[in-house]
Amino acid sequence: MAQKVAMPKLGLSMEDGKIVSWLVAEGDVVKKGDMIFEVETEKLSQEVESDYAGTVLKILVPEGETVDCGVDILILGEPGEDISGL
Amino acid sequence: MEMNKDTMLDLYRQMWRMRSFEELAATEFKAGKLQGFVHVGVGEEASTVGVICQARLTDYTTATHRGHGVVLLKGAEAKLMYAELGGRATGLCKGRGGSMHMADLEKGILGTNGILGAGAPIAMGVALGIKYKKLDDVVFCYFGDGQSNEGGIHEAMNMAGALKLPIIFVCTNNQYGMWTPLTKASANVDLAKRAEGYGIPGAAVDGNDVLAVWESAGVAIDRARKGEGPSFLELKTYRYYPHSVGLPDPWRPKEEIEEWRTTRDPIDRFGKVLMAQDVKQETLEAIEKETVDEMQEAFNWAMQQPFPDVTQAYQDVYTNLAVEGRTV
Ligand SMILES: Cc1ncc(C[n+]2csc(CCOP(=O)(O)OP(=O)(O)O)c2C)c(N)n1
Ligand SMILES: [Mg+2]
Repeated sequence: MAQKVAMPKLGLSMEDGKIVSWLVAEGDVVKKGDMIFEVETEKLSQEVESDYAGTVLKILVPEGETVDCGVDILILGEPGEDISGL
Repeated sequence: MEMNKDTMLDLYRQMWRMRSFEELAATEFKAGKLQGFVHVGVGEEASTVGVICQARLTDYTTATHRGHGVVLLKGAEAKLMYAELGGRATGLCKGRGGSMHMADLEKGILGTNGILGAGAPIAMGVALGIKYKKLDDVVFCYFGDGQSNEGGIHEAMNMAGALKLPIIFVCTNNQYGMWTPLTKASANVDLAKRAEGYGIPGAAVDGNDVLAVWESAGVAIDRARKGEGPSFLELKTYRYYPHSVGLPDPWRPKEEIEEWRTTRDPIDRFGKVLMAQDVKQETLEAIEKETVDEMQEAFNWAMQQPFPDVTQAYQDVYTNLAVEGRTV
Protein backbone atom coordinates (compact mmCIF):
# COMPACT_ATOMS: atom_id res chain seq x y z
CA MET A 1 0.00 0.00 0.00
CA ALA A 2 1.29 3.44 -0.88
CA GLN A 3 2.67 5.46 2.00
CA LYS A 4 2.98 9.22 2.16
CA VAL A 5 6.17 10.50 3.78
CA ALA A 6 5.97 13.85 5.58
CA MET A 7 8.59 16.43 6.52
CA PRO A 8 9.62 15.13 9.96
CA LYS A 9 9.81 17.26 13.09
CA LEU A 10 13.40 16.62 14.17
CA GLY A 11 13.54 18.77 17.26
CA LEU A 12 11.69 20.95 19.71
CA SER A 13 11.99 24.17 17.75
CA MET A 14 11.80 22.89 14.18
CA GLU A 15 8.80 24.28 12.36
CA ASP A 16 9.77 23.77 8.75
CA GLY A 17 12.56 22.27 6.70
CA LYS A 18 14.17 22.98 3.35
CA ILE A 19 14.80 20.10 1.01
CA VAL A 20 18.37 20.80 0.00
CA SER A 21 18.64 17.73 -2.18
CA TRP A 22 16.88 14.47 -2.87
CA LEU A 23 19.08 11.41 -2.41
CA VAL A 24 16.56 9.22 -4.23
CA ALA A 25 14.74 9.53 -7.57
CA GLU A 26 11.33 8.30 -8.71
CA GLY A 27 11.60 4.57 -9.39
CA ASP A 28 14.33 3.94 -6.79
CA VAL A 29 13.80 1.19 -4.25
CA VAL A 30 14.21 2.38 -0.66
CA LYS A 31 14.84 0.27 2.44
CA LYS A 32 13.88 1.35 5.95
CA GLY A 33 16.89 3.31 7.21
CA ASP A 34 18.14 4.47 3.78
CA MET A 35 18.94 8.16 3.53
CA ILE A 36 16.31 9.79 1.35
CA PHE A 37 16.94 13.53 1.44
CA GLU A 38 19.09 16.25 2.87
CA VAL A 39 17.25 18.74 5.05
CA GLU A 40 18.22 22.16 6.31
CA THR A 41 16.51 23.79 9.27
CA GLU A 42 17.27 26.86 11.38
CA LYS A 43 19.42 24.69 13.58
CA LEU A 44 20.92 21.92 11.54
CA SER A 45 21.41 20.31 8.19
CA GLN A 46 21.48 16.56 7.93
CA GLU A 47 20.44 13.58 5.90
CA VAL A 48 17.10 12.04 6.82
CA GLU A 49 16.45 8.33 6.79
CA SER A 50 13.33 6.60 5.62
CA ASP A 51 11.03 5.06 8.23
CA TYR A 52 9.43 2.92 5.51
CA ALA A 53 10.43 0.59 2.68
CA GLY A 54 9.09 0.86 -0.88
CA THR A 55 9.60 2.21 -4.35
CA VAL A 56 9.68 5.98 -4.80
CA LEU A 57 6.45 6.64 -6.71
CA LYS A 58 6.39 10.42 -6.58
CA ILE A 59 8.48 13.28 -5.25
CA LEU A 60 6.02 15.97 -4.18
CA VAL A 61 8.36 18.81 -3.22
CA PRO A 62 11.24 19.94 -5.44
CA GLU A 63 14.77 20.65 -4.21
CA GLY A 64 15.26 24.10 -2.75
CA GLU A 65 11.72 24.38 -1.37
CA THR A 66 10.86 24.79 2.29
CA VAL A 67 7.77 23.14 3.74
CA ASP A 68 6.23 22.93 7.22
CA CYS A 69 6.73 19.83 9.36
CA GLY A 70 3.99 17.34 8.61
CA VAL A 71 3.58 18.34 4.95
CA ASP A 72 3.82 15.35 2.60
CA ILE A 73 6.96 15.36 0.49
CA LEU A 74 7.17 11.89 -1.03
CA ILE A 75 5.06 8.85 -1.87
CA LEU A 76 6.43 5.32 -1.47
CA GLY A 77 4.65 2.15 -2.60
CA GLU A 78 4.64 -0.76 -5.03
CA PRO A 79 5.89 -0.10 -8.57
CA GLY A 80 3.00 0.83 -10.86
CA GLU A 81 0.58 1.33 -7.96
CA ASP A 82 -2.30 3.74 -8.62
CA ILE A 83 -1.76 6.79 -6.42
CA SER A 84 -4.31 9.07 -8.03
CA GLY A 85 -6.56 8.68 -4.98
CA LEU A 86 -3.90 9.90 -2.54
CA MET B 1 19.95 -21.21 35.23
CA GLU B 2 16.51 -22.67 35.90
CA MET B 3 13.56 -20.61 34.83
CA ASN B 4 10.12 -21.86 33.92
CA LYS B 5 8.73 -21.30 30.46
CA ASP B 6 5.95 -18.94 31.54
CA THR B 7 8.45 -16.61 33.17
CA MET B 8 10.61 -16.75 30.06
CA LEU B 9 7.69 -15.94 27.80
CA ASP B 10 6.79 -13.07 30.07
CA LEU B 11 10.32 -11.67 29.80
CA TYR B 12 10.04 -11.96 26.04
CA ARG B 13 6.76 -10.04 26.16
CA GLN B 14 8.21 -7.34 28.40
CA MET B 15 11.10 -6.86 25.98
CA TRP B 16 8.61 -6.38 23.19
CA ARG B 17 6.49 -4.03 25.30
CA MET B 18 9.50 -1.80 25.79
CA ARG B 19 10.46 -1.92 22.11
CA SER B 20 6.95 -1.29 20.85
CA PHE B 21 6.54 1.62 23.27
CA GLU B 22 9.80 3.17 22.10
CA GLU B 23 9.31 2.58 18.38
CA LEU B 24 5.92 4.27 18.49
CA ALA B 25 7.29 7.15 20.58
CA ALA B 26 10.04 7.68 17.98
CA THR B 27 7.60 7.62 15.06
CA GLU B 28 5.14 9.97 16.72
CA PHE B 29 7.87 12.35 17.84
CA LYS B 30 8.91 12.78 14.22
CA ALA B 31 5.27 13.24 13.29
CA GLY B 32 5.22 16.20 15.70
CA LYS B 33 2.74 14.64 18.17
CA LEU B 34 5.04 14.59 21.21
CA GLN B 35 6.56 17.49 23.10
CA GLY B 36 10.16 18.06 24.15
CA PHE B 37 12.80 15.50 23.30
CA VAL B 38 12.68 11.73 23.37
CA HIS B 39 15.65 9.40 23.87
CA VAL B 40 14.65 5.83 23.10
CA GLY B 41 16.29 2.61 24.24
CA VAL B 42 15.56 0.38 21.26
CA GLY B 43 18.25 -2.32 21.36
CA GLU B 44 18.73 -2.12 25.13
CA GLU B 45 15.69 -4.19 26.14
CA ALA B 46 17.50 -7.11 27.75
CA SER B 47 19.51 -4.83 30.01
CA THR B 48 16.33 -3.14 31.24
CA VAL B 49 13.99 -6.13 31.44
CA GLY B 50 16.50 -8.51 33.06
CA VAL B 51 16.86 -6.16 36.00
CA ILE B 52 13.71 -4.15 36.59
CA CYS B 53 11.29 -7.03 35.99
CA GLN B 54 12.64 -8.54 39.22
CA ALA B 55 11.63 -5.49 41.23
CA ARG B 56 8.77 -5.63 43.69
CA LEU B 57 6.16 -2.90 43.77
CA THR B 58 7.66 -1.60 47.03
CA ASP B 59 11.18 -1.37 45.57
CA TYR B 60 12.33 1.92 44.09
CA THR B 61 14.06 2.91 40.89
CA THR B 62 15.64 5.93 39.35
CA ALA B 63 15.87 6.26 35.56
CA THR B 64 17.95 8.28 33.14
CA HIS B 65 17.07 10.51 30.19
CA ARG B 66 16.70 7.21 28.28
CA GLY B 67 14.36 5.83 30.91
CA HIS B 68 10.94 5.12 29.37
CA GLY B 69 11.58 1.36 29.48
CA VAL B 70 12.43 1.38 33.19
CA VAL B 71 9.35 3.46 34.02
CA LEU B 72 7.05 1.25 31.93
CA LEU B 73 8.39 -2.03 33.27
CA LYS B 74 8.39 -0.89 36.89
CA GLY B 75 4.65 -0.68 36.37
CA ALA B 76 3.63 2.72 35.02
CA GLU B 77 0.70 2.68 32.59
CA ALA B 78 1.66 3.12 28.95
CA LYS B 79 -1.32 5.35 28.22
CA LEU B 80 -0.38 7.76 31.01
CA MET B 81 3.21 7.79 29.78
CA TYR B 82 2.19 8.66 26.23
CA ALA B 83 -0.12 11.34 27.59
CA GLU B 84 2.86 12.70 29.52
CA LEU B 85 5.05 12.69 26.41
CA GLY B 86 2.25 14.47 24.60
CA GLY B 87 2.02 17.16 27.29
CA ARG B 88 -1.56 16.23 28.21
CA ALA B 89 -3.27 17.23 31.46
CA THR B 90 -4.00 13.61 32.39
CA GLY B 91 -0.42 12.44 31.81
CA LEU B 92 1.59 10.59 34.44
CA CYS B 93 2.82 13.95 35.79
CA LYS B 94 -0.03 16.12 34.51
CA GLY B 95 1.84 16.76 31.29
CA ARG B 96 4.38 18.99 33.01
CA GLY B 97 7.34 16.65 33.15
CA GLY B 98 7.55 15.02 29.76
CA SER B 99 10.08 12.39 28.83
CA MET B 100 12.75 13.39 31.33
CA HIS B 101 10.68 14.11 34.43
CA MET B 102 8.41 11.12 34.51
CA ALA B 103 7.70 9.77 37.98
CA ASP B 104 5.11 7.53 39.63
CA LEU B 105 5.84 7.53 43.32
CA GLU B 106 3.13 5.00 44.23
CA LYS B 107 5.01 2.50 42.11
CA GLY B 108 8.42 3.44 43.44
CA ILE B 109 9.39 5.21 40.24
CA LEU B 110 11.48 8.12 41.44
CA GLY B 111 11.69 9.69 38.02
CA THR B 112 13.55 9.85 34.77
CA ASN B 113 16.19 12.56 34.90
CA GLY B 114 17.62 14.99 32.39
CA ILE B 115 20.65 15.72 34.55
CA LEU B 116 23.31 13.08 34.03
CA GLY B 117 24.27 11.29 37.22
CA ALA B 118 21.59 13.04 39.28
CA GLY B 119 19.70 9.82 40.00
CA ALA B 120 22.50 8.44 42.15
CA PRO B 121 22.27 10.85 45.11
CA ILE B 122 18.48 10.40 45.03
CA ALA B 123 18.89 6.62 45.14
CA MET B 124 21.29 7.06 48.08
CA GLY B 125 18.78 9.03 50.11
CA VAL B 126 15.95 6.59 49.49
CA ALA B 127 18.20 3.61 50.29
CA LEU B 128 19.29 5.24 53.52
CA GLY B 129 15.60 5.64 54.40
CA ILE B 130 14.97 1.94 53.71
CA LYS B 131 17.88 0.95 55.91
CA TYR B 132 16.79 3.28 58.68
CA LYS B 133 13.30 1.76 58.65
CA LYS B 134 14.80 -1.76 58.58
CA LEU B 135 12.85 -2.74 55.44
CA ASP B 136 14.11 -5.19 52.85
CA ASP B 137 13.23 -3.12 49.78
CA VAL B 138 15.95 -2.17 47.34
CA VAL B 139 16.70 0.75 45.03
CA PHE B 140 17.73 0.40 41.40
CA CYS B 141 19.99 3.18 40.23
CA TYR B 142 20.39 3.43 36.47
CA PHE B 143 23.04 5.35 34.61
CA GLY B 144 24.83 5.23 31.26
CA ASP B 145 28.51 4.75 30.39
CA GLY B 146 28.87 8.46 29.61
CA GLN B 147 27.52 9.63 32.94
CA SER B 148 29.46 6.96 34.80
CA ASN B 149 32.17 9.64 34.94
CA GLU B 150 29.99 12.18 36.74
CA GLY B 151 31.10 12.94 40.28
CA GLY B 152 27.76 12.17 41.90
CA ILE B 153 27.89 8.59 40.65
CA HIS B 154 31.25 7.98 42.31
CA GLU B 155 30.25 9.67 45.51
CA ALA B 156 27.06 7.63 45.72
CA MET B 157 28.79 4.32 45.01
CA ASN B 158 31.48 5.04 47.55
CA MET B 159 29.11 6.09 50.28
CA ALA B 160 26.57 3.34 49.54
CA GLY B 161 29.43 0.89 49.96
CA ALA B 162 30.51 2.44 53.24
CA LEU B 163 26.96 2.47 54.64
CA LYS B 164 26.00 -0.90 53.10
CA LEU B 165 22.94 0.57 51.43
CA PRO B 166 20.52 -1.61 49.41
CA ILE B 167 21.27 -0.23 45.95
CA ILE B 168 21.80 -2.00 42.65
CA PHE B 169 23.89 0.34 40.51
CA VAL B 170 22.98 -0.51 36.92
CA CYS B 171 25.22 0.88 34.21
CA THR B 172 23.69 0.58 30.74
CA ASN B 173 26.92 0.61 28.80
CA ASN B 174 25.79 1.27 25.23
CA GLN B 175 29.35 2.41 24.53
CA TYR B 176 28.54 6.01 23.64
CA GLY B 177 27.58 9.19 25.40
CA MET B 178 25.71 11.11 22.71
CA TRP B 179 28.41 10.53 20.08
CA THR B 180 31.51 10.15 22.25
CA PRO B 181 32.79 6.57 22.40
CA LEU B 182 33.63 5.30 25.87
CA THR B 183 37.21 4.74 24.67
CA LYS B 184 37.57 8.52 24.40
CA ALA B 185 35.88 9.23 27.72
CA SER B 186 37.89 6.94 29.98
CA ALA B 187 41.22 5.14 29.99
CA ASN B 188 39.50 2.26 31.77
CA VAL B 189 36.62 0.97 29.67
CA ASP B 190 36.03 -2.02 31.97
CA LEU B 191 33.60 -0.09 34.09
CA ALA B 192 32.72 -3.02 36.34
CA LYS B 193 36.30 -2.99 37.64
CA ARG B 194 35.62 0.34 39.28
CA ALA B 195 33.54 -1.50 41.86
CA GLU B 196 36.70 -2.74 43.49
CA GLY B 197 37.68 0.83 44.23
CA TYR B 198 34.49 1.25 46.27
CA GLY B 199 34.82 -2.12 47.96
CA ILE B 200 31.60 -3.48 46.44
CA PRO B 201 30.98 -6.41 44.08
CA GLY B 202 31.02 -5.60 40.37
CA ALA B 203 29.99 -7.72 37.39
CA ALA B 204 30.43 -7.14 33.66
CA VAL B 205 27.56 -8.81 31.84
CA ASP B 206 26.47 -9.35 28.24
CA GLY B 207 23.65 -6.84 28.41
CA ASN B 208 21.95 -8.28 25.33
CA ASP B 209 21.47 -11.68 26.97
CA VAL B 210 18.37 -11.30 29.10
CA LEU B 211 19.01 -14.50 31.07
CA ALA B 212 22.58 -13.50 31.92
CA VAL B 213 21.34 -10.10 33.06
CA TRP B 214 18.56 -11.72 35.09
CA GLU B 215 21.00 -14.00 36.84
CA SER B 216 23.54 -11.38 37.83
CA ALA B 217 20.85 -8.90 38.82
CA GLY B 218 19.28 -11.62 40.98
CA VAL B 219 22.52 -12.05 42.91
CA ALA B 220 22.83 -8.28 43.45
CA ILE B 221 19.20 -7.97 44.57
CA ASP B 222 19.48 -10.84 47.08
CA ARG B 223 22.56 -9.30 48.54
CA ALA B 224 20.90 -5.91 48.90
CA ARG B 225 17.74 -7.37 50.47
CA LYS B 226 19.83 -9.21 53.03
CA GLY B 227 21.46 -5.97 54.11
CA GLU B 228 24.85 -6.89 52.64
CA GLY B 229 25.11 -3.70 50.62
CA PRO B 230 25.24 -2.42 47.06
CA SER B 231 26.54 -4.01 43.86
CA PHE B 232 27.53 -2.64 40.51
CA LEU B 233 26.32 -4.22 37.27
CA GLU B 234 27.84 -3.16 33.97
CA LEU B 235 25.53 -4.28 31.17
CA LYS B 236 27.16 -4.08 27.75
CA THR B 237 24.64 -3.24 25.07
CA TYR B 238 23.90 -0.89 22.17
CA ARG B 239 21.25 1.54 21.02
CA TYR B 240 20.02 1.63 17.43
CA TYR B 241 18.51 5.12 17.31
CA PRO B 242 20.53 8.33 17.33
CA HIS B 243 21.19 9.80 20.78
CA SER B 244 17.88 11.66 20.66
CA VAL B 245 15.23 10.92 18.05
CA GLY B 246 15.70 13.23 15.08
CA LEU B 247 19.34 14.10 15.74
CA PRO B 248 22.05 13.30 13.18
CA ASP B 249 24.24 10.30 13.99
CA PRO B 250 27.16 10.50 11.59
CA TRP B 251 29.94 9.48 13.98
CA ARG B 252 28.89 5.97 14.83
CA PRO B 253 29.87 3.65 11.98
CA LYS B 254 26.79 2.50 10.02
CA GLU B 255 28.25 -1.00 9.84
CA GLU B 256 28.53 -1.13 13.62
CA ILE B 257 24.86 -0.24 14.11
CA GLU B 258 23.87 -2.75 11.44
CA GLU B 259 26.01 -5.47 13.00
CA TRP B 260 24.40 -5.06 16.43
CA ARG B 261 20.92 -4.92 14.92
CA THR B 262 21.27 -7.98 12.74
CA THR B 263 23.48 -10.32 14.76
CA ARG B 264 23.23 -9.28 18.41
CA ASP B 265 19.68 -8.08 18.84
CA PRO B 266 18.50 -9.02 22.35
CA ILE B 267 14.94 -9.89 21.32
CA ASP B 268 16.02 -12.03 18.35
CA ARG B 269 18.53 -13.81 20.52
CA PHE B 270 16.04 -14.61 23.23
CA GLY B 271 13.49 -15.66 20.61
CA LYS B 272 15.98 -18.28 19.38
CA VAL B 273 16.50 -19.55 22.92
CA LEU B 274 12.75 -19.95 23.30
CA MET B 275 12.35 -21.68 19.94
CA ALA B 276 15.06 -24.13 20.93
CA GLN B 277 12.75 -24.97 23.85
CA ASP B 278 9.89 -25.73 21.49
CA VAL B 279 8.11 -22.40 21.64
CA LYS B 280 6.48 -21.87 18.25
CA GLN B 281 7.41 -18.97 16.04
CA GLU B 282 3.71 -18.07 15.78
CA THR B 283 3.56 -17.71 19.57
CA LEU B 284 6.45 -15.25 19.46
CA GLU B 285 4.95 -13.32 16.56
CA ALA B 286 1.62 -13.11 18.37
CA ILE B 287 3.36 -11.64 21.44
CA GLU B 288 5.05 -9.02 19.28
CA LYS B 289 1.80 -8.05 17.62
CA GLU B 290 -0.09 -7.85 20.92
CA THR B 291 2.44 -5.38 22.26
CA VAL B 292 2.27 -3.26 19.11
CA ASP B 293 -1.53 -3.15 19.45
CA GLU B 294 -1.31 -2.44 23.18
CA MET B 295 0.92 0.58 22.58
CA GLN B 296 -1.11 1.88 19.66
CA GLU B 297 -4.25 1.76 21.79
CA ALA B 298 -2.47 3.51 24.66
CA PHE B 299 -1.18 6.19 22.28
CA ASN B 300 -4.61 6.73 20.73
CA TRP B 301 -6.09 7.23 24.19
CA ALA B 302 -3.38 9.74 25.02
CA MET B 303 -4.03 11.79 21.90
CA GLN B 304 -7.68 12.21 22.94
CA GLN B 305 -6.66 13.82 26.23
CA PRO B 306 -6.87 17.58 26.84
CA PHE B 307 -3.86 19.86 27.18
CA PRO B 308 -3.45 21.55 30.57
CA ASP B 309 -5.12 24.92 30.91
CA VAL B 310 -2.72 27.85 30.91
CA THR B 311 -4.12 29.03 34.25
CA GLN B 312 -2.52 25.95 35.84
CA ALA B 313 0.97 26.94 34.77
CA TYR B 314 2.00 28.03 38.26
CA GLN B 315 0.47 25.08 40.11
CA ASP B 316 2.87 22.62 41.73
CA VAL B 317 5.85 24.96 41.48
CA TYR B 318 7.79 26.70 44.23
CA THR B 319 6.73 30.22 43.52
CA ASN B 320 4.42 32.55 45.28
CA LEU B 321 2.59 34.59 42.70
CA ALA B 322 1.14 36.96 45.27
CA VAL B 323 4.58 37.85 46.59
CA GLU B 324 6.03 38.26 43.16
CA GLY B 325 3.04 40.26 42.00
CA ARG B 326 2.57 38.14 38.90
CA THR B 327 -0.47 36.66 37.27
CA VAL B 328 -0.67 34.09 34.53
C1 LIG C 1 25.12 17.00 33.80
C2 LIG C 1 24.82 16.85 32.35
N1 LIG C 1 25.81 17.03 31.44
C3 LIG C 1 25.54 16.90 30.11
C4 LIG C 1 24.28 16.61 29.68
C5 LIG C 1 24.00 16.46 28.18
N2 LIG C 1 23.84 15.03 27.84
C6 LIG C 1 22.62 14.45 27.80
S1 LIG C 1 22.70 12.81 27.50
C7 LIG C 1 24.37 12.85 27.35
C8 LIG C 1 25.14 11.58 27.09
C9 LIG C 1 24.83 10.52 28.09
O1 LIG C 1 25.51 9.33 27.80
P1 LIG C 1 25.27 8.02 28.63
O2 LIG C 1 25.37 8.30 30.08
O3 LIG C 1 26.20 6.99 28.09
O4 LIG C 1 23.76 7.63 28.32
P2 LIG C 1 23.12 7.21 26.89
O5 LIG C 1 22.67 8.49 26.25
O6 LIG C 1 24.15 6.52 26.10
O7 LIG C 1 21.97 6.33 27.23
C10 LIG C 1 24.85 14.15 27.54
C11 LIG C 1 26.27 14.52 27.47
C12 LIG C 1 23.27 16.45 30.66
N3 LIG C 1 22.02 16.14 30.32
N4 LIG C 1 23.58 16.56 31.97
MG1 LIG D 1 25.87 5.57 26.71
